[in-house]
Amino acid sequence: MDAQVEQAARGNRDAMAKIVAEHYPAVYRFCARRIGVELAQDAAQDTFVIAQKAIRRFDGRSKLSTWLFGIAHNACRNLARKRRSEMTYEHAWTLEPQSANPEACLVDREALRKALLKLSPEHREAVVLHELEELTYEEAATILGVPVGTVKSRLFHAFAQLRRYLGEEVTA
Amino acid sequence: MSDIREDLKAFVDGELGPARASEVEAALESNPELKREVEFLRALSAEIRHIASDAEVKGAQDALARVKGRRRSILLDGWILGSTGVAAILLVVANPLFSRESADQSPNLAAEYADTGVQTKSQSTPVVTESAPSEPATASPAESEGAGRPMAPKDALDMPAVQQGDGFARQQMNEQWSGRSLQKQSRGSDSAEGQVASPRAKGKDEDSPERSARAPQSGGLPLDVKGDAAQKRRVGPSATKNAEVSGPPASVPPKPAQEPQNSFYVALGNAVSFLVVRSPIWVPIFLFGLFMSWRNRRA
Repeated sequence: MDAQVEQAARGNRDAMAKIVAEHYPAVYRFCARRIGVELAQDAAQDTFVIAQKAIRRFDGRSKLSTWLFGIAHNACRNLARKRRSEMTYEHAWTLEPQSANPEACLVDREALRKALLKLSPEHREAVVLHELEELTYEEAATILGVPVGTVKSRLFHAFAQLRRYLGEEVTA
Repeated sequence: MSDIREDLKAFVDGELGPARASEVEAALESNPELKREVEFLRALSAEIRHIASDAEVKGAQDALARVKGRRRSILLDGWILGSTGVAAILLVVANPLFSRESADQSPNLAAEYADTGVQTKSQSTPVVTESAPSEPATASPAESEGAGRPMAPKDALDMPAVQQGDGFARQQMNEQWSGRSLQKQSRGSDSAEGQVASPRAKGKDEDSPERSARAPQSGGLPLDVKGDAAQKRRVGPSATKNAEVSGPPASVPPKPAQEPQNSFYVALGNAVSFLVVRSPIWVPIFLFGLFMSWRNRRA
């Protein structure tokens, strides 16, 4: 286990502050993609407050970032439940203007964004965790609390649907 | 072929085992369509990452402040509040027990005065009545003698020494004392000067200074009765001044409406004792709360 984590587990607030400084941006973006920037700040701060209390239970079997994402995932879900909403991942992708050289892009980005929003929440969640947060299948499975095979299956079906949606867009 | 297609995404992501990855590579070499599909999956992943929102990070300093912990007021610490709550529960639980004990302790002084057949101004004031629990036998005979009331110091000396808090003994004392006073009242109503009419009491009155000297050793009240001057010094001029004979003791009707006054003093005694006697409960609990707060802050 990381020495910084061990110090934080012993109650060293400076070590915990270094962990926050290192991981806060990733956790904030993780939250923002799930529940939007308005609530992301609260969720990210709650994540680190909870992590500070629970860091003694961190056994080092997974990466610290994965462990923090797991806490953030639950914090976002609780916050969304309080606001009587759901984690829609609608904020995961931005509507950017088409690049100057459209031919350079194999996929129409606006069409891709629409196709991503058509995915089921489970498939979208798997895509976000693996593609955007760059987590492995096993890490994503840990956060979601599902088997690794389920993550693999969800990703396969998600990309198959994206291909179909994009094909429909192209033919339309 | 379909099995290979299902594993293409995992192959692109590098999530296949070595053996399965070799199988897929071999299939890709032999099938250009699968190869184009792999290229599409890679491009799609890149585009998904490209259009991912990259929100401006906010609130990092607040998160640091929350983790480092703001210096809270020690009185607002959860342990203080928690221990206060525990103390409140303890007090609520202890209250009925204490109320019963206090009711036993509270003296029926007004009834005692009524039994003597003498009504004084000070009887109706809470000052004399409140001082009664600590030394009722000291004040009552002294007042009565200083004002010429039919109460001998001997009676006070015969009363057992009662500590505050010995409710049962005090109750017995009150009953004995009241009964004896009623007897004397019926006999002493004929007395011309309001002196004690009982021959036994009268005879013993003569050696009252001697008994006063013996009293502390014999278990009686340590009353130093040496005459009117001494009584006035003990009781004070105001008490002597306030004490008036309102008439013949036999003609004074008993005061039936003493109960509300007594219940008020019981409640008052409860409240005072609640704060004073039970207050030590708070001390260890509060100290425990302070210790836990210190420990939390240190951590």
